Amino acid sequence: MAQYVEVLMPLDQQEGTESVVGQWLKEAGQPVQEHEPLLEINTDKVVVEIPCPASGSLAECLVQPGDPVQPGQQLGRIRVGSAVTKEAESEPVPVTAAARATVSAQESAAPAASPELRLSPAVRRALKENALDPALIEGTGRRGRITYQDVTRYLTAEPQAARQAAEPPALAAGPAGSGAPGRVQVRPHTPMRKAIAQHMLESVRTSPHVTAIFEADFSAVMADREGRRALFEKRGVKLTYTAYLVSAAAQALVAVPEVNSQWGDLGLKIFADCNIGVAIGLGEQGLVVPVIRQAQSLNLFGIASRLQELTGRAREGKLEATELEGGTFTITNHGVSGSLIATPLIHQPQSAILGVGKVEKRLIVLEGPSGDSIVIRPLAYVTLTIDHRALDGFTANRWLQSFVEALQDWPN
Amino acid sequence: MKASASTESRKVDTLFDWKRVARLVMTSRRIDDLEETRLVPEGRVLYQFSARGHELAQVLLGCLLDRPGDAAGAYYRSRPLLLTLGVSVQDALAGPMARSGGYSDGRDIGVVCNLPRRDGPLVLPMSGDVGSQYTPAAGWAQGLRYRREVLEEKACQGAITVVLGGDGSVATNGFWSALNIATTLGLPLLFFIEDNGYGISVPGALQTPDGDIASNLESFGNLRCLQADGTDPGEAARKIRESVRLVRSWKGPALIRLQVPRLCGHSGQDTQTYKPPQLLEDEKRRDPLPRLRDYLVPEVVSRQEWSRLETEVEQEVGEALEQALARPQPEPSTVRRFLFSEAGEPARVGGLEAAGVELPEGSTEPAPEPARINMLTSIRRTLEAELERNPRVLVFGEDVGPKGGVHAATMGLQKKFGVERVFDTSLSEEGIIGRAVGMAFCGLMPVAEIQFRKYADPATEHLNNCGTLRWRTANRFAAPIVVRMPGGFFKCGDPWHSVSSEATFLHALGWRVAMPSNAEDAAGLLRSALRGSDPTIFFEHRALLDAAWARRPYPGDDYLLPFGKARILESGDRLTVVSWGAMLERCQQAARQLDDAVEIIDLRTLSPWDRETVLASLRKTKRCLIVHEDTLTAGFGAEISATLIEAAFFDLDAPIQRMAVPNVPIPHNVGLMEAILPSVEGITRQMRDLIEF
Repeated sequence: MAQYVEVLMPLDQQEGTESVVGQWLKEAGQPVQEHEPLLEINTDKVVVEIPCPASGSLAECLVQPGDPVQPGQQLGRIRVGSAVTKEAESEPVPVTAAARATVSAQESAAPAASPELRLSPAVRRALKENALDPALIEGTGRRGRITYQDVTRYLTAEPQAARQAAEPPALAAGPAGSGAPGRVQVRPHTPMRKAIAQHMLESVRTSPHVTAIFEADFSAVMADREGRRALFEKRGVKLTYTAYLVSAAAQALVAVPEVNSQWGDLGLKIFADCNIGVAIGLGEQGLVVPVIRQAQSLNLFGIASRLQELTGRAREGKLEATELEGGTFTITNHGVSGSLIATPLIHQPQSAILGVGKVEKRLIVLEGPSGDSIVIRPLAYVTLTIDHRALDGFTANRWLQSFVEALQDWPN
Repeated sequence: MKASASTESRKVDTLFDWKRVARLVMTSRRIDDLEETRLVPEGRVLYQFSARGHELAQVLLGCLLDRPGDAAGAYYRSRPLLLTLGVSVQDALAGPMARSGGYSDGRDIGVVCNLPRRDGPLVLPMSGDVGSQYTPAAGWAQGLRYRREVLEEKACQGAITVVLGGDGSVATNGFWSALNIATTLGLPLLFFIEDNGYGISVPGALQTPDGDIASNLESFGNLRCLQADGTDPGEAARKIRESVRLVRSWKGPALIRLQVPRLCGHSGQDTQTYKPPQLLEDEKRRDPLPRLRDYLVPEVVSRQEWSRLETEVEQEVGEALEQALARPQPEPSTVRRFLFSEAGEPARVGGLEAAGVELPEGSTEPAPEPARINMLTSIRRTLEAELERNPRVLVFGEDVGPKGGVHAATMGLQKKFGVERVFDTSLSEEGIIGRAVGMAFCGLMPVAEIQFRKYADPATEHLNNCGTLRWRTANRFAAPIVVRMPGGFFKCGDPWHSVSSEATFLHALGWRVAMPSNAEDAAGLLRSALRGSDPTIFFEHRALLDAAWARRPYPGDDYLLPFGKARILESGDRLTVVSWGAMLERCQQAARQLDDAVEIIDLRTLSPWDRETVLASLRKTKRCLIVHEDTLTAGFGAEISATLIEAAFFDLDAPIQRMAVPNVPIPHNVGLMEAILPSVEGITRQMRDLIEF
């Protein structure tokens, strides 16, 4: 008798308030393997893949593209086993005592053969700081263990040509130009747009917003970037200004932890980890805010490589829901599209958001021991918008001071 | 018999201020009463000792100690003496309640007292362990005589040392060791034995035959023995005065045994069920307080005066108690202070710094001579230079005199500096170290040689007490001494002469420990110790004393090497090797077998040890091997390893490994010995194993 397994909408993958079915990746009747992607669900911000719960064949699709779905809802049915091979179906052969003895004898005879996959504390930290995947590193320690020297060798060696980052796929062009004069074209809201609208409205209703503005000199950061971008590039990582902003923000959050917080009725929740969200614009579609977790424990390479990974996947629409959760602070680098000063709205339920304006050369007056002088410096306005329930201008200024110092004194 | 004694007593001794005696006996008794009936039941005193029954004899003795330089070595039932010598009633009450201030700032039991003083008699710091008061008292007596005869301090003439003990204490090693020192050297030391018949519950006949130490010592050479009833005011006054006079003549030691009742348990917890009821009754009849009253009233003190005295004492003690109760609890944040000396805060008594001795500044830069010398000669030259420069340095131990030490480190020094400064001692390590402690109290710098490391065993009590002394007295006393101690394997080994066991001294508290590996470091560290303010173990490795590897140019008579500064013997980035003493040569040879650069660190001193240098090296190499000669379990390698794991977990790319002698003693057979010592081959293998990990 055939057995069936239900395909259910997961309970834990809802980011935002609305999920609709995207597309089925298999057709009814097709064989399927456990864990392979079965269908896509579009939530407000990301596309979630639902894996197949069992091997067999897709017996039935119970929802269609565009259907809204709820957590726990049944999406389809899998007929178990019909498509798998006969061998796999047959009873497993019992292992005889003799066979077991052979196995254990083999194990004890050649223990050195099994590779050492465990990582030492020093290697773990180096991998974490540089956001490296151990699978890429060749281990030269006993039984192929990755040693600390292997990690440093990997970071300083010439990269293989094959690892040159492929060109990101061109973004799909936006909808064609406007309609004829006098006519109105209605472009339907995507779930993302609707979610942004809802969230922004919620944010202004929730928090009294106040913005403080400082000015930051990017000379030190620019000089540092000139010196290191080639080295990062060799490792396949693009060193962007945003990486510096994340690093400096993390330093300022460690220095003024009240800003890394969330308003609560009973008290201000101050977080130990600086999980920094970075707003990434997706053109007309809107924007997403993936989170760099524990940014305070990453070095610049670690931040840059994580940022590149998240940005890449954001543009491909392949961010996972969990990558958008858990932020404690947000940065919007609005200057990249030309703005000098902006007062962004807080990403709820956080307490503050940093806005960074366009870096441009400006004249400033320097006071020196031999009198005033006018110099040209690359400057940008940086703003911190705070939830005035939780924080005051004094704290905001203290944070901005710390942030600006981190940038100006780079690499401190 | 009774009538004649009574008649004799009726002639009141006029050489004592009896009103003062009465007041002090009453004061001690009143404090005991308050503690027993109020402060113990209220839970304010947790560890209570009364002197009930012992007061009169102690007060009479105290009245006779009246000169600067007079010192008393005492024990936990000596409160009446301390009150007589100047401890305030308030301190005496606050101590048992562990309040701040006083003789230990709440760190020690309230009856373990001390009294630092320069202008009058002082009380050497007591210890809680019975018998340990004797040899430091002998050391003070010898130190005082040294100051009189060699340093020519006339004021020391006639000053005496008294050491008090109960009948139980005459069975201890300390008693016999001090007795031998005092009688062989003819020191001005009075043994004041308060015999109450019991050591807690053990009768005196189990401590010495018939329980009578004075009779048993009648024929002991160079010792005058006296006996007295410590509850009979007339007799006690006469005999105690006689014993003090004998010792003040500086013609040698004396012992006086005073029979007294113990009118209370050993401590507040002791109910005395082991005493027969009849004995308890007899003891009550021998209470010295009513006997003193009978003796003085009405001839010396009228009935009204006695009553008034009682009222005054009650009032005075009552007021002092209020003040003691008002004293704050000691501040917890200060509890770690004064295990070691702190800059600018010398102890009040003990060590060169407290004695106001100024030493030359020295130099941390070596001024090497052209030729190399071995470590042994370097040690001898350093001792010689410091003996020459500082007249307060004394060098002593077994065979250090005419023989020049069994290792020859003191060869020729007695001839050059005289028998008072460089001398042989009796064969008692307890006496060597205990005496050194007393000499340090006296403002001298004693350099004690323990012939072999293993022979420090009998001195364990004094080594431990010396280390904690500054802390226990909250910096009122300190005993900076230098203990030179040869040890470790040599051409062959054995379980007696080849012990290293340095970890013992690192677990003990308050000691600085040097383990020099070469002639230059040995000179610099020994000189630093001799001019320092903390007790120091200076370990002289037997295999290094004449080893070619350890030879260096003598770094000059000014060279000081600070403690806690490791030396990087070899630089490298693949592996950190931490070692000390004789294992370093083997580590160096092992490293040379390898192509990879190994960093070898010579710790030089283990207390303090240079954590920063080791950590910086580990952060570079990510791997660490510790090699030592002491046995593995709880050896110092374990401490280093644990510290590194705590401080640098995320820097470790391999497990920290230790190489040490396995947990067996050093064997005599050379083949057996080499089989357990870390060998060059073994260390090479271990280094390679870690590098390839």
